[in-house]
Amino acid sequence: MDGVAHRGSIAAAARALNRIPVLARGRKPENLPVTLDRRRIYIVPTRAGFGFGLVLLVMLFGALNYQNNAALLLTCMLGAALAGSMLLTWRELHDLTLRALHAEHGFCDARLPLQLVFADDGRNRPGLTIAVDDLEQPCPLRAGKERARVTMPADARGWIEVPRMRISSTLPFGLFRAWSWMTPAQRVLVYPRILADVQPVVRSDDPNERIAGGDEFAGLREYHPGDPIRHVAWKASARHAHLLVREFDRAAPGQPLRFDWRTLSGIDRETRISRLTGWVCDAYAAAHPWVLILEDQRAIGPANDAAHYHRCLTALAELP
Amino acid sequence: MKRHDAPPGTRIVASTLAPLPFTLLCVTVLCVLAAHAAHLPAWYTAALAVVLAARWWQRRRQPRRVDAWLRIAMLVAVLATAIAVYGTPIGRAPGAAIVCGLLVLKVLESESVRDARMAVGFACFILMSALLFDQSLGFTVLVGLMLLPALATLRALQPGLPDSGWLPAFKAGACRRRCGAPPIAASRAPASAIAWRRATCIRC
Repeated sequence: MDGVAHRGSIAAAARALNRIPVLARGRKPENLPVTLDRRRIYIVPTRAGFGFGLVLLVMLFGALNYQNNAALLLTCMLGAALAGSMLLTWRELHDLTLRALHAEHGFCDARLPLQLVFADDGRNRPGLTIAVDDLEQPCPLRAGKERARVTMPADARGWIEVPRMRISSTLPFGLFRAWSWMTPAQRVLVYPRILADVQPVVRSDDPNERIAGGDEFAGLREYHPGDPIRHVAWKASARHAHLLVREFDRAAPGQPLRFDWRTLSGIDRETRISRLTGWVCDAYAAAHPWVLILEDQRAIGPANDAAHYHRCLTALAELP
Repeated sequence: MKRHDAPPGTRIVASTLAPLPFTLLCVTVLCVLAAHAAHLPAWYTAALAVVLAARWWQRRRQPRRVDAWLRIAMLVAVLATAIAVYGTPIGRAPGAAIVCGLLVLKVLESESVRDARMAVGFACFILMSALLFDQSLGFTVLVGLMLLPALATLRALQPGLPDSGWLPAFKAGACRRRCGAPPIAASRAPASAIAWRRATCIRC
């Protein structure tokens, strides 16, 4: 229950943060490079900071109550040290410049890795944290090496906007959090989700020999939606509760596999795209040449190299 | 977000107390005991220091909390000692004896960053209370210097310090200079291997 309540409070805090926008800068998409100047860095005490403030207040009242100058001096020294740490926290973010953003390849429903390239201003920023969603990701920077890697959620295939990033730091004492928002005006490509539950259907030239993955009978497996009806083993299925389909060995080496949109009938569009993506990934992993035939009869391939792999996945991701 | 909720392939700040901040926390508490040593019974201060040293040694071998029953027994012992020595638990001197005991008790159960922060705040307050017994200039300066390990503990709780050596924790702008695996190499490692990497300065 505690976990649920904790998650609920995080969600409530995130919602509250999302409602601040009118007061905060950096929410609208901006072209790179983006620099965090003093006008767009905000600083607030953390929970630990509020706790320490309370301790300081108790110390202050204690020292005043006993009219003890030494205790008062100590309290003021500690207060000054903590107030001075605010400047160091703020400096972690000040003048930080995001120069470029490169997206790596990623699939839908996984997290997409992003490479962030910051300008090298000769300063160390060991406490930098970047949150693309509600996950705080530590991204320490050092003079000379100004690259950071974060991951962003990818819930849909195709070109998606890079979401707003919250950059923050709590160095040096964890009592104050300096934060700012960056929203790079950039889109990244997300490949479709991978579905690998069915073996590829390869159309042979011989209409009497429609084969699945090859031409040698290999065994029976459970029916999945989208399997060709002609592959159903009716006699064997009669003895079981579920339909069974015949499976075949893979095609002979050298002969390209044909992944055809039209062979996947009877299933929804996204499942088709995901299944084709799964086949492309399998063929690429096995270094077997393949041809991808899309909805508009456009054929890509045959080939088995990385360029072909990315061309196919890009075409599948960009399908309407 | 909790550790088990984080998706694989991402790093998250560790919430368990690392050895360096724990050692600095023990040094801070030792300073607090030293600041109060002048007006507490010597055997009481020595006993607390021994308990603190035993806890430090125990956590080096096995990082887990001291058994709850042992902590309750120590709590009773601290209160009983204060009453036995001073006749009452109320007042400046018995109060100082009790808060020193409670601070050592807090160290016995400190396993997370949050525990350590609370202990440091508590230690700062008890350091101030030492000045209620002696306002001399020399002692004030000494107690002021004792704030340094407390602030160093707070600094060590944050990421970006070297794995070895305690001195950088005393410098607010200190950053780790070298590191093993660059982020790209880390990204190619199995997700389970990098999932909960401690958030130290991996770029350095």
